Amino acid sequence: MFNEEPLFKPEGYTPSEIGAQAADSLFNDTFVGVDNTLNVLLSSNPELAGENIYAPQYQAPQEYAAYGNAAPAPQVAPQPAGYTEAPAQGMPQHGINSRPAMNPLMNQGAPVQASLEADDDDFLDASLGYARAEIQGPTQLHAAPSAPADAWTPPRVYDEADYAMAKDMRTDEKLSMMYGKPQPTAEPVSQQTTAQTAEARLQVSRDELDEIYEQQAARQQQDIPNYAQQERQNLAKLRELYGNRDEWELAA
Amino acid sequence: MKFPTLGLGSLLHQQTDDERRAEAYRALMHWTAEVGGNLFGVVPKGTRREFFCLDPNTWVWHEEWSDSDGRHTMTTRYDVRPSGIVKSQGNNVYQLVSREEARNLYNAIQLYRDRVLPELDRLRHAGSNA
Repeated sequence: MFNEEPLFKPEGYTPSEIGAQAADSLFNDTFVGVDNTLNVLLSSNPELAGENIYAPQYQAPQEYAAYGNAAPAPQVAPQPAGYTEAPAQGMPQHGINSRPAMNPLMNQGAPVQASLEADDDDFLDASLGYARAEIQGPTQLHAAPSAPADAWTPPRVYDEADYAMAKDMRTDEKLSMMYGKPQPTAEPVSQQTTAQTAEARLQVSRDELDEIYEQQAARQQQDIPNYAQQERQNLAKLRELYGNRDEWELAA
Repeated sequence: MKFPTLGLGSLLHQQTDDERRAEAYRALMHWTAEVGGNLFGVVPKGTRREFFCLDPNTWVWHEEWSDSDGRHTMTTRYDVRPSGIVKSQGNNVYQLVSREEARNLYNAIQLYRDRVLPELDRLRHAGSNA
């Protein structure tokens, strides 16, 4: 299927018993993961049993014969060289929103021929901001499988208890091992933004203070005439009662 | 009552083996992630794309890219549950994968199996015969 098989070739790597143990552990995890996932996908999407545009090439070791997906490889139509899919325009595609490539030739810069195919899913894709591309090519690539659907082994029973036990902290630990500590999803607030925010808050406080001062000043301006008028009224009353102050002193 | 004693030499040796095993496992997982990332076509220059089986119940799509807003990272986890596949993107919000996404995932996993498992099988036997 592929012109070049991927090989694990790190610098300085030499086969060893320890390396074999690690490979064996990862092989087991991967094999069970593949088997489990394919079964869940098939049970929740029965129509996928008709998806055999990719020909499984790998035959599982004898000890895994109990797992159904190692079995009969469906025959598939020849794949044309250069089959590829146009990358999404604009927003990068996060997750499996595009089909995998069928041929590694595309990794060597093969020309891309793609067009948008309108169907019911396009609206959803467009609303999610994804550009979906379909291949213009031989229709047999999307033809019904030659292998009968019943060639697939029925999904194994897999209960929630198994899932709960398996889905423990190891997942997060392994992710941390690959990419370090998980990053917060929100965009970090820059120092400049923080300073601007603080300045804005301070400005609000200053504005509020200014308003308070202005209100106090206005009240004081109002109070001064009031005091003066009150004083004049009080003096007038005193004069009415006691006459002029000079006259009091003279009388005294 | 006598407790069994463990010699320091054997303890250090055991730790070293564990570390070497973990290092080898990590290197192998990075290799599988790289192989998986190349299943989807040309990876744009400056983009890091990885797709791999993290554990028997989890698949990961990891992508790092740059644009005018700077460098971005997005890790998408596909959790395999008995009732179906749900995905999350770092915010603990889970959603069922769409029909189209399930189909792409199904095809991608078959390709991943065909490319990754034979090499891991070779390595585990080659190493044990070393």
